[in-house]
Amino acid sequence: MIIAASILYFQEDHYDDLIKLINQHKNIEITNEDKENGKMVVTIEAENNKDIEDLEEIFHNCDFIIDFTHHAFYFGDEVEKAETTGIIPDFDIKKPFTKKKIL
Amino acid sequence: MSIFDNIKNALNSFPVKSTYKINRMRPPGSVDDDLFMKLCIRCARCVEACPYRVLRRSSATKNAEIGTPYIYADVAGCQLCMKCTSVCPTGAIDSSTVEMQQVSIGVARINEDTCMNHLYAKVESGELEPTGNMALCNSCLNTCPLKDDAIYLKDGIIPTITEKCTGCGLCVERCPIKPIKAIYIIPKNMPDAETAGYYNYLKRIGKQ
Amino acid sequence: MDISRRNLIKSTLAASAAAAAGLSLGCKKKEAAPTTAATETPAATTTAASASTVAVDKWVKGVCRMCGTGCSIYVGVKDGKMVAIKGNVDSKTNTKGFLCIKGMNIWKVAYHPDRLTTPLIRKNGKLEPATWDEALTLIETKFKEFHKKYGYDSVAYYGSGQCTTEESYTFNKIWKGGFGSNMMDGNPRLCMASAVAGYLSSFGSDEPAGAYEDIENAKCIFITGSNTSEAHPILFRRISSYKRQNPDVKIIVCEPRKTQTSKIADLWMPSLPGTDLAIFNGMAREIIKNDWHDKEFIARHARFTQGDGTEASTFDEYIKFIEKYTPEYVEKVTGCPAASVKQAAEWFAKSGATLSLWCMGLNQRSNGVWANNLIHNLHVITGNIGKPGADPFSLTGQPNACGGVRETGSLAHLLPGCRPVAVEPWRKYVESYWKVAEHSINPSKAINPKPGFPAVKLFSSLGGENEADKPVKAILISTTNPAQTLPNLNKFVPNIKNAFTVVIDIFPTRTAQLASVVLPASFLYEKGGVYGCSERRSFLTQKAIEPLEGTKADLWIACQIAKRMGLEKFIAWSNEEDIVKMAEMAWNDYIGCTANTEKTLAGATYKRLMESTTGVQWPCPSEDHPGTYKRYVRGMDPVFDDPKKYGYEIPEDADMFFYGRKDGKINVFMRDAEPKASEKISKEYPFLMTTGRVIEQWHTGTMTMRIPETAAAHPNSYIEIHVNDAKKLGLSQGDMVKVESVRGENVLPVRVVNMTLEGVCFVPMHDQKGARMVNFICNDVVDATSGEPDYKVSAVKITKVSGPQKVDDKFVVTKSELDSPTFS
Repeated sequence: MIIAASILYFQEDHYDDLIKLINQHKNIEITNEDKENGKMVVTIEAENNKDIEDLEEIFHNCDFIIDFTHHAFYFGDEVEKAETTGIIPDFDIKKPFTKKKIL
Repeated sequence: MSIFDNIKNALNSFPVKSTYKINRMRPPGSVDDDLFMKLCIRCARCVEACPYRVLRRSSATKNAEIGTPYIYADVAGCQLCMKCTSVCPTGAIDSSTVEMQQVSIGVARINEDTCMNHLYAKVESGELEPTGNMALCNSCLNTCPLKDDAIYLKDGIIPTITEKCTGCGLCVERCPIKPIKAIYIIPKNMPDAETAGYYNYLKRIGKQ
Repeated sequence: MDISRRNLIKSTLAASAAAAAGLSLGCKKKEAAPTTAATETPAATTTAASASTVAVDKWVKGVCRMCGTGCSIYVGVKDGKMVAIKGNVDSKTNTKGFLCIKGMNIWKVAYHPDRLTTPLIRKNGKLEPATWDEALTLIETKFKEFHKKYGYDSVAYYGSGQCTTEESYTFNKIWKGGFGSNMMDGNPRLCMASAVAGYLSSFGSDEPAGAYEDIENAKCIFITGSNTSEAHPILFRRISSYKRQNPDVKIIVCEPRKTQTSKIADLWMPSLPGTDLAIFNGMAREIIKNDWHDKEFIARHARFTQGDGTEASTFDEYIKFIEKYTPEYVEKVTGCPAASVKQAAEWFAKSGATLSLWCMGLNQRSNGVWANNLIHNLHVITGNIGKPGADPFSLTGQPNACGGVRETGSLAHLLPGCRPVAVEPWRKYVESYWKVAEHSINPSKAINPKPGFPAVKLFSSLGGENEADKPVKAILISTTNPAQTLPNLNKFVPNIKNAFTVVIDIFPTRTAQLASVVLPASFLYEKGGVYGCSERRSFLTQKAIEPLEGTKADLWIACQIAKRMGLEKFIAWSNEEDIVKMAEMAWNDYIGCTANTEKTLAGATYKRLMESTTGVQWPCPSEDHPGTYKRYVRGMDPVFDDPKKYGYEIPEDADMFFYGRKDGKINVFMRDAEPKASEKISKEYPFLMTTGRVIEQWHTGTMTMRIPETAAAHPNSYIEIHVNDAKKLGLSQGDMVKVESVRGENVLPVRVVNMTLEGVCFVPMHDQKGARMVNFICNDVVDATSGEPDYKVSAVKITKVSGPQKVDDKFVVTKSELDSPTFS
């Protein structure tokens, strides 16, 4: 289980659209928001990084979301698992960024 | 490589980096910004050590440069007293920088359309009609700690920057032109707007 | 993972993210970009380059308020307020209408919130607001009381080279004619007095023979004792453009610092502060030895002499006198290489037309008059006077020291026309012109033939009623700041405080802090008046706007004092209401008085001055006379057309005649170069400190430190120390040091430089902060002839106090400091 704390920058006048979008995803929780300045802090619970990556895709395809950046990730469970079982999970962290070409 | 090394490497190549901004430089003696962002632990010792209160922590939130020290030249330039270079615990500021001349955090550039001396010289040469609005000002020259070395007056009137310019920004602070100063610093060792930052990365891949 | 642990992790991460993003619940604070400190009025947000786009109702002609160049300007007025300044493109001084950063922005001074708007009277240590009537009544009472109790010399006046000519003339007339007291002097005593005495002793008549036009006609320009690039920037630009277009012109700069001025020089001659007379004598010796001197000119126009000039000597005696100044001796004494002395001598003598320019570096010295004499010597022996491009031209520091103080004779030993009060015929003439016998309130009914005290002596003699050794009990100070500009301040500050001091100024100053009465003055463009610059050019500044509510022009104040002291008929314009009319009447009185002197401005009527865009250079005897470019030359100088009118006798066949002296010759003085009276370095005080100006600030910074552009460009004083000296003392850039002389101390930040001589350091004079007022350190020893102090030479020791500190506070004395007893 990966927990991510992320910061969303959005256009102030589309606040309602954003809430609608977030409500579609049950694993996203809004913890802080600053409506007037278009900022929001959310926490995301996901099983693996691919889920987070999919979320990113959805967010980035929205016009009213200016930016979506991750502030912190918590991999505590995965690390424990890896330590005890010796199996290195497929973090695939590099992959989302190498999938798309950096021009 | 162990798991932790993997994670470390991955996060270190995280493309969330700081971008450059005109007139916003790193403390004197700072290493390249890629390395700086990794080494700076935001302890603010350099900010404390600065006797002129020139170093300020960035509050920009777009990218992860929050809390890192900057010089905002249009407010206050660096006096090159070199007191901050010896206090950085991680080496983000190189402590072997002790002489003013070693500093290289940016290069000054003069806007030839607004610098008064440039306009003065154009009237003198006949390129512009005399309107009585041309004034002589040598503030950038006089304020430069490496006066005549990093900046000198070509033909006795045109302030000209040399490669010895440290990028301290005192000239920017003191330039009297309003509303926009006629001299500005292009920071060195920082990725420029085209290649750095998560936002700009998104721009590149067509997401913004 | 159980739910509570998950929540903890989530909330921790979220909190940290929120902090990073600058979020806080319900907080509206937007990210603000760093803003510049604001003491700006809304009008002050654009600079020069856009001045032409500022909408104005009218442009009013005037002169720049600052240095002695005399740049001609137009003040832009909109809705009764000044909104811009632009240069006069037709000007003869600042050709093409160029200005410097100070002049372009000086109008902002008028609207600064610190401006004094009510008279203040000190009661129980505090300056309390009062009405004009109260303040003037107090002044009247005190003046009359002191006149009665302690005599007419117990009330003094200290004027300024920044007052208008009409004002200086009026005060001069009140004191010398009305009170019968010569106890009045001015700040040109600290600035140009040595140049005046130099011209008077060498030529017999004050002020240069040539003009700025000589710059563009010169083949060699010798700049000494002047950082022209910063003190007279527009003139310097004229010189450097001329040099660029004519690379064969030789520029020689003789200075202890390799300033920006020396950047255009073909030869920089370093000289330790105080020692340069040896160079001038050395150059003269070199010129004569190599037969480069102008024998014909010497035979016709030179008179060799020494001491006070009464006894004539011979050319041979002169040659013998300067024999000891061999290039090698000069190098030993001054630090200037022997080869440079030879080179300079050659260029000076053989150029065909050599112009010398000097300013405070030569004047503010214990041997300032002699330094001036020696420059004149060089010009005489090489025949470099009277032809285009050739002249010993003394640059004036202040905008109206020439016109307002020297020419009106507003110094303790002079009368209008710049003639000594001790000389009877002229004194009698002025007495009769002024009708002194009829109007003077002094029982002597005459002008006192004994000169009064020059500035330094005046302030030494100033004190409270209980101080029997201080004969001067009251002083009226206008448009100057002696509590910051006198040398050795620790000595004079108590005197100014103890006496009955009246200060006329536009801002709170250090002098106002010590004053008994403060009168709020109008700014130059709120009243208008004539300024006369270095090249004898008088120019009228027309009143552009109404004075700030509560302020009054100095001329009005002078008239009120005159009326109250029983001189209302004596000062006929004191009965006028309109300040412009008053000024015109004062001006007419003045030019009437000097109409038959070589300094005549009879042709410069107010009407002509109002119409002229170029001003008038004296001598100008009539309205149709164009003014004089070069004096002492037949065809250019109108004195030749009717010498008897001016009291001179000029031979018919003389094309050039230096009529200031009866024999028409110029005195070539034998002067010893050793600066005997100047302070010497010692083991305890091993450094030589010199002072000077910077382009961004004007004098005591009361105006320029309040203009955002210039204040930001030079926010505090510092001490320039040579890099090798800094290393020896263990100092690095920005370190705070204590700079001490036997008289006082400063604490200043270090600026490490390599363009000065080792062992010599430099402090700019502009800072008002108590710990950075350099005049606490400077020496009050004066030139024996002129009374001008030796600002340029002080022996100091330098010790480190601490590491760098933030001192760029653009400090100005505000109203809150006026009640404080100390200079903090």
